[in-house]
Amino acid sequence: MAKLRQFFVLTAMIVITAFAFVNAQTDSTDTIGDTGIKLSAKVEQSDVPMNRTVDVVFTLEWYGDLDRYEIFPFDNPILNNFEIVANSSANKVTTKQGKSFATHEYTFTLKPQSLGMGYVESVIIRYTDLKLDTDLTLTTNRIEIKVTDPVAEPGDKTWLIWLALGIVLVIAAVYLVINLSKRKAEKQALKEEEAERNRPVEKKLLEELKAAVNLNDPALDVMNGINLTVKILKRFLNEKFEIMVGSKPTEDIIKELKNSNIDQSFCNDIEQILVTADVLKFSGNQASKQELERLYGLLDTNLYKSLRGEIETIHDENNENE
Amino acid sequence: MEFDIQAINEKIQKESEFVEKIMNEVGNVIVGQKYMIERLLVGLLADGHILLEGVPGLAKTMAVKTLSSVIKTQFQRIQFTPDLLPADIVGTMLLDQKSGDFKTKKGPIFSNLVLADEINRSPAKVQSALLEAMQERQVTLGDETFKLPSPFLVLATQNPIEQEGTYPLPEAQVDRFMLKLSVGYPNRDEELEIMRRMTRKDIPTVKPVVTPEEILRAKEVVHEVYIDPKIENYIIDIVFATRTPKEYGLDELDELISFGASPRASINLSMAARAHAFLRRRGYVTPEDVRSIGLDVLRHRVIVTYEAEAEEITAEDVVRKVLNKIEVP
Repeated sequence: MAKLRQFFVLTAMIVITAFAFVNAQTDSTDTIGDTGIKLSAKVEQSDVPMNRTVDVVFTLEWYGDLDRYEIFPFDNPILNNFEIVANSSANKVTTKQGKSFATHEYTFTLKPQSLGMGYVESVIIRYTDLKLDTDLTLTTNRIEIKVTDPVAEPGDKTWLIWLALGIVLVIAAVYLVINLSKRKAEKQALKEEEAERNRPVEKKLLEELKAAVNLNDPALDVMNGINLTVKILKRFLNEKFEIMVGSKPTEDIIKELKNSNIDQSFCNDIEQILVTADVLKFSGNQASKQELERLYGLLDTNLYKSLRGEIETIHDENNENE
Repeated sequence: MEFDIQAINEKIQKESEFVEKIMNEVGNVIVGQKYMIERLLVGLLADGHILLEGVPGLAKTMAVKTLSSVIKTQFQRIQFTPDLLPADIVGTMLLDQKSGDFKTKKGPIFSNLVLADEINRSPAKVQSALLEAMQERQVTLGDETFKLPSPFLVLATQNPIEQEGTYPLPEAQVDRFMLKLSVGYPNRDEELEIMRRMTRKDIPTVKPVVTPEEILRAKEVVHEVYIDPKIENYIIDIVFATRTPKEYGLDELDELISFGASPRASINLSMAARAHAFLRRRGYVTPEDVRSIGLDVLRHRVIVTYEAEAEEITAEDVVRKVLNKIEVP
């Protein structure tokens, strides 16, 4: 059992190490000639975001002085899905294990062209061993680099635009919803208003009269009942016959009613209600419930008469007779 | 407070009998002008002086003279002229050369009915002498103060045209008149009747039908006419609407009114409404009384702005708007 666990751990370590190595850099060619010269091609990373560049470095190294070999100029590497945006070269001499160690580096900065795989084809470098006076070549391997989705640029404010756009969209959606519901409510209110308008005024006022003045109520305030009855009557005159009653005293209302072509018996009833109410309201005397009942009855009867069209029928007949 | 409307109604029926007599008798001489005669009676009963405004020839003076004739009262007419002096109205102290003492000579104001004809033709000092006497109902000559007789009613007339050489009454003085009447032209039928009546050989005359005592008794009864708190509030609403029209939904009047009616307007409107109810032989005031008399009580108490004048909006227009807006109780 312990052996099996050791095997799994070892396998996992190998896989992780190999994966880490592959991801860290790509060594393309490692050619060491008889002269001890070595060529390597390295890339910083195996994948590059679309909006970034990647450096491919070709390195020639050898023990000895820089003038030990003569390196011939070589063409730019053949690229697939990349373009060269910059290149450079550098020489240096260091000491390694007590000997001179020369390095010749060629760096190409590559920019991806589209998403997917990109390749740097093999590069052949020709050189002359000056000591032996022989021409030789070294070749790198083909390097593959994956081009990935672009990454956010540092200090990039695009996200702010997207956020603002999102907020605007949300607000627009909310506004639209509110507006739609408002319109719906308005439409509904209009519908209700229309229905209310189409309802006969008499019906409406009869309901109001019954609700406002309850004759069966033992605690009924008679004077208040009379005031409400007169108010409803005045509204009826205003809404049905368009008589502006608000600021007119009784005498003027009656004069206007009698000058109109409205049924005279109706006018007489209205006069009775208004005059009686005026006496009760302004003479300082106590009003009796019988008086209220009489006025209420007169108004109630005339509202029903008007609802049945009797008032206007009589008026029409009179006109026809004329 | 329990109020016996029955009793006051009966009292009014009894005490107001003369009203019809007066109207009939005045009608023998004056054609139409019922509105003016009725307002003169309101002034007489409510103890308020009256300013009559109208073009010449509308029987203003004749109406007042006729009214004084039917009431059997002392009547004096003072023609206001630019050279009139206060002493010509209230009286003066004269030196009796025989005795060497000063004697009081009472002026024409010591009368029951005084007609101040064309009041705006005299300078301010004369006008104020009259108006002070009207307000105080007494006159001081030398060291002595004399009470004016009762009933005492000043009827002043003024002509709205021919403003040149006149002394317009200051607003404070005009406020002392209970009513300002605007006398209009008679209608066609009335004018025909006037023409016929006045061109007869024997011009009609009137006889006294009421005594000053009856008027004084009636004045007492007018004070007893019941005015309900609802009506009182209606009056207050009307007067306040001339001061703060915005609060009463009369925004358009806010820029047009310079000064609204004074508290004297409320008092006079209440009193005139009682007198109006009395003339209708009613023991209580109705909104009709207030509305009917409102214009006459308020038209000279509302001062309009220059903007209103520029738009040819008069105080009368403003008061009409107020009366048409305030809801009756």
